[in-house]
Parts: sequence; C-alpha cells; structure tokens
Amino acid sequence: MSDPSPTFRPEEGVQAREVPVRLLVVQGEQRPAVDATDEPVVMTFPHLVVRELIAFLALSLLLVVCALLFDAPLESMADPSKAMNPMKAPWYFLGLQELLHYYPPIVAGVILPGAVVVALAIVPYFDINLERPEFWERRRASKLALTVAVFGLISSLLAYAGQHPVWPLLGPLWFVGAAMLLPGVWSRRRGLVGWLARRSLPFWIFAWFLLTAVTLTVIGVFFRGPGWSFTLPWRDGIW
Amino acid sequence: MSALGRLLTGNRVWRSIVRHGFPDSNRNRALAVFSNLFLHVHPVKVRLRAIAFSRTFFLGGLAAACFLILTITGVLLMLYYRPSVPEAYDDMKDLEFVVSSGVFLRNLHRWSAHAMVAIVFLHMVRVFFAGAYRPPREFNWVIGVVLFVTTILLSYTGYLLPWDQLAYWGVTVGANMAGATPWIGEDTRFLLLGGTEIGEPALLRFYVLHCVILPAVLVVLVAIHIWRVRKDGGIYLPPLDLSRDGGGKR
Amino acid sequence: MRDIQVRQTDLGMTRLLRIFAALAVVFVAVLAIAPVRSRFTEWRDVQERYNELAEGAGAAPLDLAIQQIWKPALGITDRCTTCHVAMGTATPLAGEKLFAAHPDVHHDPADLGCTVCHGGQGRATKRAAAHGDVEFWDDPLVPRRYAAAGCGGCHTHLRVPAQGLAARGAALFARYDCPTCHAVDGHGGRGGGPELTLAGFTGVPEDWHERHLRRHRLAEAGPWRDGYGELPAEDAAAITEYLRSRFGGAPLAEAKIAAHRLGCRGCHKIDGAGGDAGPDLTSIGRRLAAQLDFTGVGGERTTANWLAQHFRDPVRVVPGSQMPDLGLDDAQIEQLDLYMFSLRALDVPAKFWPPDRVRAARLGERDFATDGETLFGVFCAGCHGADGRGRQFGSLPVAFPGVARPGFLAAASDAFLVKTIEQGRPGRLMPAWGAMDGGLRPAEIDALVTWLRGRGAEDREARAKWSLPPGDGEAGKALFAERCASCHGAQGEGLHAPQLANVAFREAATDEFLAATIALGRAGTQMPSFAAGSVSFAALDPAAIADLVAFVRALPPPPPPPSPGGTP
Repeated sequence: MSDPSPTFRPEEGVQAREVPVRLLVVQGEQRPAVDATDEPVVMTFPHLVVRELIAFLALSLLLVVCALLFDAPLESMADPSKAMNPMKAPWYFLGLQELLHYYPPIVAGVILPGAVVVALAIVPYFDINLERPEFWERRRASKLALTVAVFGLISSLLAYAGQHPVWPLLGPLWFVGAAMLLPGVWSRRRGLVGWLARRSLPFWIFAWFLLTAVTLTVIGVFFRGPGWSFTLPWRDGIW
Repeated sequence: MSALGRLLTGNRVWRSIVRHGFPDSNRNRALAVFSNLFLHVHPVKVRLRAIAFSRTFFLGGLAAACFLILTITGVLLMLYYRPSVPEAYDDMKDLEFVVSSGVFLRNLHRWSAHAMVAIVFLHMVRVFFAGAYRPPREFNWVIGVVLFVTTILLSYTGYLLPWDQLAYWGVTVGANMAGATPWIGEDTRFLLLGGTEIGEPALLRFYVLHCVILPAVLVVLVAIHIWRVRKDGGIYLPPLDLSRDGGGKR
Repeated sequence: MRDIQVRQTDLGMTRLLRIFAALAVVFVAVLAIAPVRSRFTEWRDVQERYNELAEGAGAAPLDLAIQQIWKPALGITDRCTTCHVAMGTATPLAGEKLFAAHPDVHHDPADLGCTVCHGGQGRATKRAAAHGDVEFWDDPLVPRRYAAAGCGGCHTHLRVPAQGLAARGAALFARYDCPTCHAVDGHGGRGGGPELTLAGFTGVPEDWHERHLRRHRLAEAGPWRDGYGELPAEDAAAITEYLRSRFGGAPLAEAKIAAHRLGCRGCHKIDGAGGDAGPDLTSIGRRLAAQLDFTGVGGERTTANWLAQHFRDPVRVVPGSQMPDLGLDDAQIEQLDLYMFSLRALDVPAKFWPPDRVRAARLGERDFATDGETLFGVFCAGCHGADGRGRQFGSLPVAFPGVARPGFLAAASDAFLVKTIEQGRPGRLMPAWGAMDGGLRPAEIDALVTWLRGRGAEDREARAKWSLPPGDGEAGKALFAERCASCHGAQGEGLHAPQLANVAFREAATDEFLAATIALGRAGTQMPSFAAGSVSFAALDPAAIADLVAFVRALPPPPPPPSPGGTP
C-alpha cells in the first residue's frame, strides 16, 4: 500500500529506439507445424486459383441457369386463418418434421436434434482413431453379443417411444448395424469387409445420423401429403 | 499477347495497384498470392494432392461462393423490400412485375440459398469421412458444426420474408418446434417471434436476423474457420505413410 | 519470357485455362439473358402498337414505360393503364378496343384506380396475372358481364326501398309538380333544382321538406314563393322513400332489390343480417373458381357459371344441399349472379365509404326498408312464398305453411304470430327471429305482423265458437292415430304437415286456436275441415275435437333433430 505506484514514462526519440526489441521466441509448438515434406508441391497461383475459379464459375453458371428456368415459389399472401395442408417447413427441416410425426415435439423437435448437434460437436474430443483394426480380433463372441444388444436396445427405445411404426428410423439403424457386424462374423483383412472392419465408432455413429437424416428428409419431401399421410410424389407433387 | 500483357501490366497505374510483376515467375506467383488480401488465405505453395477435384470437390470454397452470390443478390433485394405487412408481399409482386430482372434476382437468391444449405451439409460429410475433424483440428470442426447451424438459421429466417402462405406456415412449423423446448421453449419462441403469433414483429425480427445478425456471425466464424485451416497447414490430408495397415496408397 | 518453366509445372494448365475462359464467356452470356429478357414484355408490345396507331391518327406517342395509378390511402397500385393506356393519360384511339377511353361513369378512374371496382391484381403487368387464371390468385376480376357488381366493393349497403311506399311517392312526386325543378331519370328539371336521378346513392336528407318550407317562407316571390307549400307528413315520407329508390337504373341496385324479394336472407346471413340455415354470403363475390367444386357443373369453369347452375338446381351442384330449387327464370338468375358478385366488400378506409355504408356500419341502419312487405320479401318469401301462400319444394319433405292465407290469419291471433316469429320452431327450419344473431328487431316483427294482418283479419267470433271444455287426451289418442298421424306423424313430430309436438308451437298456440284449426281446416292446404267432414270421412263433434286438442297438449316433446338446421 505504501509503495509508490510505478511511474510510466513515454519512450521518446532516441530512447524509444533503445528499448529492447524481442526478435524471436522459442517455445513448444502446439499447433501442427507445416513441415517440409518430400511430396510434390505446386504454386498456388495459378494451379489452385484457376481450379477454384472454374469451380466457382461452374456453380454460378448452374445457379444462374436454374434462376432463369425455374421461378421461386410464391403463393397467396400469408393468412393465419387459412392453414395449409400439408403444412411443410423448408426442405432441410422436413427430416425433423418427419421425426415429429413419430415422437412428441419435445423429443423430436428438441432432444434428438439437440443431441445430434452436441454429439457432432464433441466427437473429435474423444480420442478415437479413424481406423480401428483391433476391435474384432479378440473376444469376438462377447463383443458381437454386446453390439447386438446395443442395437437391440436402441431399436426398442425408438420403437417404444414412437407414435407410429418407426420403420424409417429402424431401416437406417439396422443397415448400419449389419455393415458394422459384417466383419465380426466374416473375418477378412482385404476388400470391402476389411475396410469395414477398420472403421471407428464415430464413423458408424455419423453414418447412422447421415442415413437417418437423408431417409427422413426424402420421406418428408416426397412422400408426405395432406394431413402428413403417406402419398406418392407423382400424385401430390413435392414440397 | 504478352506484348499487350506487358503494356497492360507494365504501366505505373497497374503497378501501383498490383505491386508485383506479371506472374510468370515463381517469385511473382508467390507475391500474387501473399500480397493479395483475398488470395492470402492460401499458402504460396500447396501440396499437389490437395488440389485434386476429388479430394474436396471444392465444397468449402463453393459454400463461400454461395454466400458471396447470396450477399450480392440479397443486398440488391434489400433495395426493394420492406419488412412490414402487407408491404412485404406487395414487394414480392413488384419484384415480379416492375423491377428489372427482379424475378431473376429473387430466383437466384432462393436457389443459391438452397444450394448453400446442401453444399455446407455435403462439406461437413466430406470432412467427416476424410477424418479431418480429429485433433488437432477438433475445434475447427466444432466451428464448422456451428456454421452449419447458422447456415440453416439464415435460410430459415429468409424463408419467412416473402410473407406468403408457404412462408407463414413453414415458419409456423419451425417456431412450434422451438416452442417445444422444455422450460425455455415458450420464452424462446416469444423472443424469436416478438410475440405469441407470427406477425409483423416476427417479420421484422427475422429480417434483422437474416440481413444483419446471422450474416455477421457467419462472416466472423467463416473467417476463423478459414484462418485455422490455413494455420493448420492447409486442408487435411491423410499421412502418406500408412504402411502399418497396408494403407499407403493414399 | 519463361515459358519453359511454366510448361514444366503445367499440370494441364493450358486445358484448365481454356475451360476457364469458355466458362467465363458462357457465364457472362447467360447472365445477360435476364436483363435482356426483361426488355421483351407484353406491355412494351402493346405500347409500341399504340404508338404505331397513334402516328396514323395524329395522337401523341407514348414514352414506353409502366404506368400506374397509386393511391396509398386506398391501398391500391393499379398498373392496368400500362396496357389500357387511354384509360390513363394517353389519347383514346378509335378502332382498337384496348385503346378506347373508359366509359363515362360516376367516379373518375384516376381517383379510385381500377381494381377497387373491377377486382383483379393491379400490381401485375402481365396479362394473365392481371386478369385471372393464375395460381394463388388474390382477387378475382369481376366478370365483364357483371361489371356493375364492382360497385359492391364500396356500396355495400344500397338500400332496398319499400315498394308500396315508393310507388305512392312516385305518384305524389308528379302530382306536387316536383319535376318542374328537379330532374329524375331524364324527366323535368327545367327549374334548375338539383338532379335527383342518383338520390339513392347520394342520400336524401330526412328534413328536406322542412328546409324547402324555410326557403318558401323566406322567399318574397318567384318559384319558391309560388311553387311550394306545406305537405302532409306521410306524403313527404312517401316522396323520401321514392327518391331513396332512385339509383339511376343502376343494374346493381335493380339486382339487389330483385334478390331481396326472393327471401335469401331467410337462410343466408349477409353482412350480419339473416338466417343460419345456409352459408354466410357476405363475401361470396370474392370466391375463386379454384375453390369451387365443379363436379356437378357442366360448361365453363367460372364462378358465374357455377352460381347460375347452382341457382337452377342447387342439389345437383352441391350434393346434400338443403337449398330448394326456387324455380327462378333466366333473368332472375342473371340478376342473382350479379348480386352475388357484388358481395365483395372492400376493406377501404371509412372516409371513402358512401353515406349509406356509414349509417349501416356506425348506426346499425338496415340496408332494406323495414316495412312489413319488404321485410317479408327479405326474410320470409324464400320458404313461405313471395305472396305468403305457402310452398312445397320437391327436394324437401315438408310444406311451408301459407302464413298470409286468410284462413290461417282468421284463426291466428297477433300474439300467436309475434311469438311464432320471435321463437320460431326449435328443431325445424323456422328460426327464432327474435332471439338469434342477425334476426329481426321487435319493431320489425311488429311491422311484419301488421302487414300479415293486412292479408286477412282475425275472426275472433268464429274462433270463440271453438272455445271448448277440456277434453280427454286418452280418448284423443286413437282419433289422432286415425285422422292426423298420416300427415303430422304418430307423435306429432311432423311429416309433411307442421310439427304439432313442437314446444314453441304449443306454447304460442292457444287451445282455442288448435280447436278452431281442426274444426275449420286450412283452405288451400291439405288440412281439411274436420267439423264439416267430407265424402271420405265423417265429421267430428266438438267433444272429439276437444279430445284431440288435449292429446296434442300432452304429446311428448319431439326428439332433437339429427343435425343443426335439421330436416324442415
């Protein structure tokens, strides 16, 4: 308390130049260094830049042609007293809306999508490798039983909570399950089965999410008509 | 050709803008990249494997391209749009009937928005299956997930703006989903809509979110996203040496 | 230069650059399509054709541009004059219908725009979108044939006059030499008074006679001194009614007056007044053809055709409809179509409202005269017949009673009539006009009863003869089954004859009324005189009639109808 507060003096003129300048700091490197590699490199300009420009132009061309050929939908003015049937969200939400058909809003609209986003965000923080050669090598029978049990549990949870038959959810799940178990019952090191055997858990979870999302979205976009009943796209049109 | 090129690029004005020579030497090509604000997101040299089309399908870049198109068309559309009822819908009609190329502008904005959602999603799938989400890039993956959600929110907030039946009821479905959140659902919905029903306050909120808040969030996050890719040595490539599992061919 | 080094690291660069160049050229070319395309529009062709014709006719050419009538207060942006140029600022050209001037109408199109009257989408600059037949249509164009219905957007409450009073007023108007000063429908008016041809639209002040008298008393000489004098109050009222019925022969007014003699509002609500048996018709004029079911309709898919076919045969067009075939002729159907299209009230600000709409909306004034005759035409004629002689429709099981027949009126007391109109017949088609929303006001019910009374006096003496001592209900039971049940139903539930068990009916009807009706019957209906008997059945003595009355009194209430509105 009694110490006089340090005085700060603006460095001026020649003195300013005398202040030591830090030239270099050597410390432990945390991020991946861009090491010199032996593999071939090319100049960004023009090799990468030209490719990027071509991709950009091709996409722009595609979009401009679409914009010239197809008009964006515009229906009559919003009228809260005239409900649309079917009431459909934009296409990227139709997977979720299809999920709402099976589960109460709190599960389908909040918990499941929230869990998926959180799961996606935390996936890299689990120290799981991209490839996983060892899993089926030892104690295969018990691991098989465990895996089948996990899939059975998830399936029955999905089916139990569902308000309608949940085949569109079970289909992708069982497809992923079958692909995951295949190397467990048919041991091969090469080919597709060998490749499947080396996939990691995040791969399977992500594949499951992806397949489910695509299935539900496709059903929601193409196969749902008035009252969210099943229909065929050539009968009632799409979205 | 090169005479014309030299005439164009050799004069004082050109040299005052572009401070390096014609990019026909590696030095000038390097300068072309790192003395250019837009190109300096790239290193001067990239690994040959990284530029193959089938490596990335340029999905990240194309998502950014979509955003560029959306920004240009979106700013032009803002000139003709009033976020109020019933002017919003009337302005859609005016775009169709009196604004030169107004329909084209709206179409391009609409289709680019759909394309951006799809491309960002595909980008995410591609990155995941390439394994690029793993350490040390884990935080950039998280930013990517947030960017995906932001993109969807951008598209969703824009969906209400034409104020037609499709928009109104499409957004109703989404707002009801938000309302189902336990404890905070009703409040979230109220905050989003500026009321208990979708009306003019909701339109104004969606407009501000769509034109100011979400694009700002997206730009900042994209900047961080790209900057981190650059700092991590460019796009992720699997190590060349995978001899242990007989990979190797990568 | 250093071409060699470029070649060394070419990696297909030459090909890529070619692709890039080709794409860039194609992209720029395709990008140019949109602005180029927006130069080729229908309206440009139209205006260019105008300019060609204008050159020949010596009229000033147009600068090619979109024209519009913009009235923010009315909420209109009408670009119709972009093609209908002569209805905007351009000189009309003979020979080409599109370039004709607007016909002379009361309102200046430059003030009100186009869509206020004609409907359609004023913002559109393309023919199809402006005129109709596009998806998600907001506002259908009023068909050209029914263009007069366009007035209904603002003139929502054109008043249906009292016919009898107005006719008397017309005679008085002539007798008092009013046409000396005032022109009406092209006659008279040399004296320079205001023309009254459109008095129905502009309104007639209640105190016109007092004002005239004041001028008369102040005048020293001239027509005001010599040509005017005091009028009896009822004569002034008759003239007022006559003037209020002057719409300059406006087709909409004629159609509305005609429709209000058919009793539509007995079943349909229009702007809050009318029955509930049929759909509300308040904005039927805005109904889109796309919203209608054309399954049972032949011919073109237009609202006009749908309406016409529906009036001709309601049940074929709307299966299950209770609306009877009213037996309308083509001219009536044409007028009804016009009236239906006029039911398209626009939400314009109140300062644009005509006076009658203001009075109706703010003061609750009726848009029809409230004398008994008019009221009967507005509310009752649909079921009970224009003359009140009763009606039987092929599609409905019951006959509607002839309430204006002298035989019925002789037996019915005023109290019975008032109570019946007020409370209706619960469970039957006759609504409780006194209690329901959109029903009749007490004074209107009184006016109706007064008018009915004019069709036939009450015969108390004849009825008093049938004031009988109480009978035996048990004894009446067998008699009822034998004589009454075939028409009135075993429990008096009403087959094609009235429902005797109806609670409201029994409450309104006295024993005397029941006995007199049984004894004397109803001339002109299937109800015979049971006191007189006939070749096919023996006469009943007063004791038997008293037994029947007692049985009817003791009937259990009828079961509730299967659906609201029920069978009639």
